[in-house]
Amino acid sequence: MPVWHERTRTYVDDGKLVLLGIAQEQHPERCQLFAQWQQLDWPILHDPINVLQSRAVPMVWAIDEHGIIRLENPRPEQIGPEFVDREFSDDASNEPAASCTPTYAPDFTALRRRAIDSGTAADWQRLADALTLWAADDQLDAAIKAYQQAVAIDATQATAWFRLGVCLRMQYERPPHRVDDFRDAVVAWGKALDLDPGQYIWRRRIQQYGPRLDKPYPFYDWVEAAEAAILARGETPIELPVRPDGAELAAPIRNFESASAVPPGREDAIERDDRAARIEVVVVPDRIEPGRSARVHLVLRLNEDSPEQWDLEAGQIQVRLQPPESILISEPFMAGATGPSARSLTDPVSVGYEIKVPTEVGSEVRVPGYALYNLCNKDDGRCRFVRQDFEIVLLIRAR
Amino acid sequence: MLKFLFFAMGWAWLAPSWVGAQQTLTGTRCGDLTLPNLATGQAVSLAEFRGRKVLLIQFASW
Repeated sequence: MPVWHERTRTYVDDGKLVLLGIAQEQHPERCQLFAQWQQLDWPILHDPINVLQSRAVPMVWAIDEHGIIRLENPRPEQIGPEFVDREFSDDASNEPAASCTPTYAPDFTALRRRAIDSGTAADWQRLADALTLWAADDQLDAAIKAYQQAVAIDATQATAWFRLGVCLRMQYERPPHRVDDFRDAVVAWGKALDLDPGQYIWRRRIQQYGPRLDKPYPFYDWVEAAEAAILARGETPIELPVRPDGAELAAPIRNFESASAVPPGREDAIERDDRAARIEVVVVPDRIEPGRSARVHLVLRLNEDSPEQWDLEAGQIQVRLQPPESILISEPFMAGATGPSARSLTDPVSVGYEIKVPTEVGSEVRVPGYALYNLCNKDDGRCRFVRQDFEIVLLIRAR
Repeated sequence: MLKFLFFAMGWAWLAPSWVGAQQTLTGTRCGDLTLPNLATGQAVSLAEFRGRKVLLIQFASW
């Protein structure tokens, strides 16, 4: 994009050309940060659900004054002589087609009535798309239900599965952060890819949260450099409500890097915590190919009604995994930290692991583990060191 | 990372309603396209730019 920005600057400044971007992005603020970093001053539209059903990015179209596409994925040097400097007549080979996106300010009531009356997956998806793009934030659950209705009617609607996953992940990122929403998002994306394995955009969405063996590149390793560069210019970087986690920052690998087992010591006698915090486990992908790896997202989250908080002074949160023989576990992944630790008294703590299963494996692998952490009661100041057990369940894809 | 994306992009095609099943779009007229502006959340339509030459760039920051 910086290439296009540079190579078309003169045409834009002279008023001969308009640059318009469409961001294929789960998180719009990340694209805003990117645009701020690269100083892209042209309008960028947000498309979280791939309404154009594009199968790859980047894609570039040169559209003339009559709305006719004249060039597809041109080289920058073509823009001047073959587009900007040329005169075009209104000679389209087709009639203007219907809109490919829901109309702005749609009538949600009418769309819902149509979906109920027709009972078709397409109409339920149409309602869901409109709710996702144009409804207020509190309608996200309605969008999810509409997509669920679409795939319940027709489970082969790959696009609906993908968009359902997008909305579920959005839901997960909002309080109360229901872990099932993240798990269900992963399952939905998996179903979309099973139906259309060649969909690059969809594949990248699940790879964003997946294992390093399956990554083509680190997805968001540019964020830190972007923020530093923006600050150096004297500007305030766009705030990211959802910062990239370990999976989204991790670089790809070609060989699995397993960690050495750590002797647990006398940790069985430690007091169990069954009320202050919960441990959420999400595995990406939801079904693992034999011989491949998965990314495990562990989140330690304080329960909303708990009077206890993390004791940041007493030491880092520790996680132990006890894998069965032949199961390989990586070192834990943390974004910007040397070990699992909380950034505040109440923030959730995220830890990532990658687990590789052997080629010969059953339908399911269970990896027990436990977390050790310190808590302090904010009312009476009493602190304790506790343990909470959990289990990672890896479902293996049938051959 | 984005440079890699830009130079590594393969062929791509669209399958929305205003494209149909064609593999090439050259010479076809776009239908309208309306999406929220990333910065403001306000609706922006491709039709607003009718009468001007537009370079429409679909991309991602990942």
